Amino acid sequence: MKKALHKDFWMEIRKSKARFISIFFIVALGVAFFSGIQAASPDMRLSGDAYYDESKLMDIKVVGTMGLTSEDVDAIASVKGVQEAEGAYSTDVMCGEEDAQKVLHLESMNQTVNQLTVNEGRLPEKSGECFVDNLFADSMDYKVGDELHVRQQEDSDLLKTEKYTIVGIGSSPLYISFNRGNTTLGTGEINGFAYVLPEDFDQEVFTQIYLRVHGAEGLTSYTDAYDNLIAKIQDRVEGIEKERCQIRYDSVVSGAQEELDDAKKELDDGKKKAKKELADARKEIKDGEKELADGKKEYEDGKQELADAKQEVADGWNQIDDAKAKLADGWAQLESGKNQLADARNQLADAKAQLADGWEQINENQAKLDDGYKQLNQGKKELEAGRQQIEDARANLNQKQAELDAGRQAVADGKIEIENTRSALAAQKQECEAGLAQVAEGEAALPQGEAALADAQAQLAALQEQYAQAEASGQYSEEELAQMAQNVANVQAQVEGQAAELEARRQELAATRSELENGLASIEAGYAQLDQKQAELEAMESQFEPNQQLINEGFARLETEADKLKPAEKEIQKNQKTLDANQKTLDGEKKKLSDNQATVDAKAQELAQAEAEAAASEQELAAAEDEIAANEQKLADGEQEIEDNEKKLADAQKDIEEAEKELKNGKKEYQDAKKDADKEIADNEKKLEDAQKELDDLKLPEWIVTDRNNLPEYSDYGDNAERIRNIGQVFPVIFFLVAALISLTTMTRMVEEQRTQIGTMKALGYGKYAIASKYLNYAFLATVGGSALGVVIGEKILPYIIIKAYGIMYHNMASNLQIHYEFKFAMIASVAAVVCTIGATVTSCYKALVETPASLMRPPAPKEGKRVLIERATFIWKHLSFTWKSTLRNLFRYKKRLLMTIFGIAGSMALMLVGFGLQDSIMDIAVRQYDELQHYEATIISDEDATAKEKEELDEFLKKNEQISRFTKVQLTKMDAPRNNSNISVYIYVPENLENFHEDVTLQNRITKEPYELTDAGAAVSEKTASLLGLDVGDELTLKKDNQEYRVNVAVITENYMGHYVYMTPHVYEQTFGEKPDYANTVFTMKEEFKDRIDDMGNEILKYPAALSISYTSSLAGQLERMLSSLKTVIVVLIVSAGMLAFVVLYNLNNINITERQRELATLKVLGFFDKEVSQYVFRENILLTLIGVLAGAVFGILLHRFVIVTVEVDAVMFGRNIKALSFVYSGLFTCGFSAFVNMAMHFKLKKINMVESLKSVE
Amino acid sequence: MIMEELFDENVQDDYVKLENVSKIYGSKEVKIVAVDEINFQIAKGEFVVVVGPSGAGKTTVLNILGGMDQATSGKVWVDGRNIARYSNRQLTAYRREDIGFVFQFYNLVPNLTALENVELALQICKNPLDARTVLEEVGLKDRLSNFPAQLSGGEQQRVSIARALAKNPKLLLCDEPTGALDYQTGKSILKLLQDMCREKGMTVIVITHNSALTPMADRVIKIKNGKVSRMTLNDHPTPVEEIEW
Repeated sequence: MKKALHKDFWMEIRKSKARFISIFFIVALGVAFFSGIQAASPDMRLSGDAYYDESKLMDIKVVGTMGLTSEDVDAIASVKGVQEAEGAYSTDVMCGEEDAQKVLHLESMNQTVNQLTVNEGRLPEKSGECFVDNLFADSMDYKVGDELHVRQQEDSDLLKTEKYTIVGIGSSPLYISFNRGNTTLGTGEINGFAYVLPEDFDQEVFTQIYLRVHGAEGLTSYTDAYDNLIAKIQDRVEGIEKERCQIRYDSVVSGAQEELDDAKKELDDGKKKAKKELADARKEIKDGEKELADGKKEYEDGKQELADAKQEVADGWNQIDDAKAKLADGWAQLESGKNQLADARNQLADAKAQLADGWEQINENQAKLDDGYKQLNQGKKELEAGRQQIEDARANLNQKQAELDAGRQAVADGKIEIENTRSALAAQKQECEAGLAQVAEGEAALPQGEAALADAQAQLAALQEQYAQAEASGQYSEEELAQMAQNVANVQAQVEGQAAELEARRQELAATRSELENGLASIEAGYAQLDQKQAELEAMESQFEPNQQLINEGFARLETEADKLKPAEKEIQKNQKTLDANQKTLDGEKKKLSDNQATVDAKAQELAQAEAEAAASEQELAAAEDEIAANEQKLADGEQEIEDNEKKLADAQKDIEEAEKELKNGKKEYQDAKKDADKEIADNEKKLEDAQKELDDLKLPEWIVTDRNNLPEYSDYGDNAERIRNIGQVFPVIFFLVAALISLTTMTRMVEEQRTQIGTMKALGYGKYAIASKYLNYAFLATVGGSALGVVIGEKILPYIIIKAYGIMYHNMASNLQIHYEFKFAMIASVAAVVCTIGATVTSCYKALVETPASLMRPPAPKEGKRVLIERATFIWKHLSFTWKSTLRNLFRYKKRLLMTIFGIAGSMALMLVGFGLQDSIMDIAVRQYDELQHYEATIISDEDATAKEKEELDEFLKKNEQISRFTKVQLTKMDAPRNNSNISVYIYVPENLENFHEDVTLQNRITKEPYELTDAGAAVSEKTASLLGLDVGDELTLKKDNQEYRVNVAVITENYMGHYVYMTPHVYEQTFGEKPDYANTVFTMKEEFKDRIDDMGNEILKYPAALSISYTSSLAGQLERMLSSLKTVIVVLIVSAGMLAFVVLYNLNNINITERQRELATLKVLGFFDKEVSQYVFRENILLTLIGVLAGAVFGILLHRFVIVTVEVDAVMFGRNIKALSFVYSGLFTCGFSAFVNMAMHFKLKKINMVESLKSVE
Repeated sequence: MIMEELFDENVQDDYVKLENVSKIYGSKEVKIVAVDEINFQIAKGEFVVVVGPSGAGKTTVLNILGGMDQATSGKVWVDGRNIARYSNRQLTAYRREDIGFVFQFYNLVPNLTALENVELALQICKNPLDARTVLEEVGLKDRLSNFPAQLSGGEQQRVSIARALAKNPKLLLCDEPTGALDYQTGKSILKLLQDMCREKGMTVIVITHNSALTPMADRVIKIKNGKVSRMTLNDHPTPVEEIEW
């Protein structure tokens, strides 16, 4: 390449970075997505295989129905192609407490195959140690060092110890997910596994043999190569099965035959003994029969004798009858006489009765009279009493009056006395006062005395002075002095006497005064007393008047009472008179009656005489009668005798009958005994025979040779890989298509933009190739670079995410990530991308290069503005602003861009919608299937070998149990329905009870939800089944049973998501298969309040021998949910990728749009459009295109979703076909959101448009 | 003499006034001075022709005057306002309200008819003239509903002028309006511009490299190497019809 061109090329890239990068990334995205998702599937397989190889997972497992011997192991190990074979023991045991009983699958550790992965602790090294499943340990909270107690099934003794120490926790390659398989113990589900050393098993033969195949390690699981190799070796192993089984059979049979022979001999002995006992019994019975016959004859003789005696008695009776007739006549005569007598007697009696009546009446009257007298006397007495009372009262009153008068007198006396006292008191007072006056006078005289005393004292003093002077003067002689002293002493004595007198007087006066004053005080008190007494008297006086009043009233009442008594007195007197008159009349009547009495008595005497006569004749008759009676008695005695004899005979007969009965019983007993004995013998014989037959029938043991597909969830993993592959086949293709189209448009645009330059180059004389090479190189570089990046990133990241997602379920896989570059997918994607872009570039270059340089160099003929269809609708058009008009015209002007944009947005929208839609369709099916369609909560699978009685027991239990809401017996059999060359296996579901079925299973149309009934018109077929087989309502479904084909009419096609079901009424089943359905299984539902007890219920049900296992709807649903939840991550990847695609598409297209119209936009800016207005001018188009794209994408998405769902589905599952409204909303919002984001980015780009540069000139 | 005129107090011609306006492109190392300390003023209602050789900086001056570009330094007075320091948004508003542009290559929106192209400009400004009338005035009465692609170059330029005029701008700026047109058409376009200036009293500034056009202007500004080399006032401008080139 020329240097200038070379430089131009690099400059071009630098100048149009955005374009280059957008192609680069769009291709990278497309390629990454396509190759990444495609590669995920093989990477999943490889990761799985790596783990299997590492853990030396068995390739083939052989289980023998009679166990496997170590010779078997050797034999298998020597089969060609078998690398190694190892026998192992296993059994299922229970562990855990009562409420949380768990089933543990216990297996012996293997030397080479099935290497365990230890997460914690170590592998068991000695007896009594065990290695436990990590999931189980987690759920049961077991830790290394804990003790594990297990319980074996009843009557099973396969383990040497039931107590283990947990030494390690980890995983086994046999269980790659949550499922641990099924069992006949506990709830029917195995909850975990544990490994112990083989020594801990007490078994003669191995339960299973694991083998690994030569060369299998080199092949990848889940591939045809691996499957073919294993199938080949499987065939070879099955080839030696017959021989090995015969050997095992012989050894088992010979042992059993010996035992059987012993039993037979024992039975024969028993038979002989029974026969002898029976013979003895028969002889005894015969003797009894003979005795009975003798007794019967004796009885007949006695009967004859008795008949003769009876005749004699009858004659005697006739004679007596004659005598009796005569006697009867006599009696009749007597009777008439008696009658006459009786009449007379009656008359007499009447008269007597009249007399008696008379008497009675008189007596009665007398009594009345007596009563009258009595009453009268009583009245008199009462009257007297009344009078007496009045008298008493009067006396009383008089008494009171006297008292009153006495009172009055006393008062009057009192008053006089008071008056006297008062005057006496007045006199006393006067006396006292006079006394007081005297005292006063005396007192008044006292000072006088005192004065005299004082004078005397003064005189005394003077005298004493005189004496003192005299004594002092000494002038006087002794005598004189003595005289004088005498004088003085006299005077002194006189004075003292005077003073004492005065004092006595004073005291006397004071005493008199106090006496008088006391007297006065007592006189005052006397007055007061008097006044009080007077008041009392006056009070007494005031009472006299009312008392007088009362007394007067009393007298008045007395008078009225006395007046009342007077009429009573008068009446008494009157009654006395009347009574006396009556007494007199009565006495007269009494006399008359006494006369009548005498007459009657005479008549009575006469009658008595006549009666005596009649009695005499009666006596005679009686005597005659007695005679007859005596005769009769004799006859009667005879008869009695006869009767006694008859009774004796009857007893004899009874005895005979009893004896006969006894004999009969004896016979019967004998018969029964015989029968029993016979039966017992027969039974035992039968048993022996059966045993013999069983032994004879004992089929050759079989080997069940299975490969890895039989391991729990092994094949599910493969299915999941397959599902990813299916998704990879549809989804990324669409993704890739969008990406390719976008890069194609971009390149086309680029070439068109540079037509002037092409023209110039051409004019300069460059060759076509030289010119085109720039664009081709540009496209190639961008595409190849993008592809390379896409492959590098996509094939690493997407499988990583997907396998990690599945690692949630398949724990061990994620730890063995095997992510390889799948060259095939990388090439497919890259080559397709390169071809697309290069092709597009070549086409547009070619278009440009054929034009002449001149026309190329001219400014591109501007695209004409054209009127669009909508302008015809003037009324709408008129109301549109210019920007809208311009927008609409623009859209239609660049039709290619319009289509590309719409396609790009619609594609992204559709992809996102598919992502969300997949989630809707897939996530719901567990809920739909097990909540909305199949309502029963568990299925009991019955043991085919159970006896009818055992089955009944189970039914009875279910019927009586109160926690069970309902149960329905069903036939649930797997059959094949031929489809092209293969079969699909369908469940035939025949309910015994159609009413319950209605509640157990909902039949309905998936789309309209119209409910269907299960009728005799034909079978109800699940939708997926029908679509796989191409069946429609009215067609015939072919079913294979025992290699024979049957046809049944399809009546309805019903919504169903998991598995294939054909529902039939018993009638339809019978019609189709010509036999009655065998309701071997039972579905049941718990009552609402016991829903959480279903595990306990399962435990209980499994105790019945008729129940083989139980499958719970909830665990099915859970497993399904877990499996599908891994798909969630994949879906998120899809959604994110689709979002990225939407973003890149929008950005790229907008970029083109803006570059293309830079000039126009610059003009708008010059005209003074604000940045916002300029952006709006462009965005309007984008918004419109986005909306159209979203709508188109919704439609496209629905179709694509349907397509993807159908492709992704595996045969046994039907995903929902629905997309929720919310998913539309989400995808729409995401798309619009991306669009908005891109527009925001564009806004800044628009802002940067330089007006001056853009408008400078036309290039 | 020029300077005298320039600073003649009697001439009331500072409707548009550029003071020491410079425009320098490029970084510090490589400076390209497109406009160098330029000064001139224009009176209201004048028909101004700016002449100069290619690359002299006339378009740059026009761009600065039209608010499409910003001066590196100096003051640009338009009707008493200095737009030199306007923000982008203010400049947009300025273009929207005060400026009418006519380009060499018309720059019509190809999707819109002649009438719609005019209306497009009108819908964003405050006191527009009637689009139909303006188009009639520029002589396109019969081509109202034609798309640009259906019009000849002269007709397209008339639409462009109509679009600028209809906004009723303060300044009508024309960058080589006849550059892509033939002689006759160019002449008629110039006549249209001159008539508009005379009739409507609009200030029209025409940029051209053709100095033959100078006689028709009221004022001629010659620019050379980014500087005003001469400014002349024509008291009696020649009508376009009489000019030959």
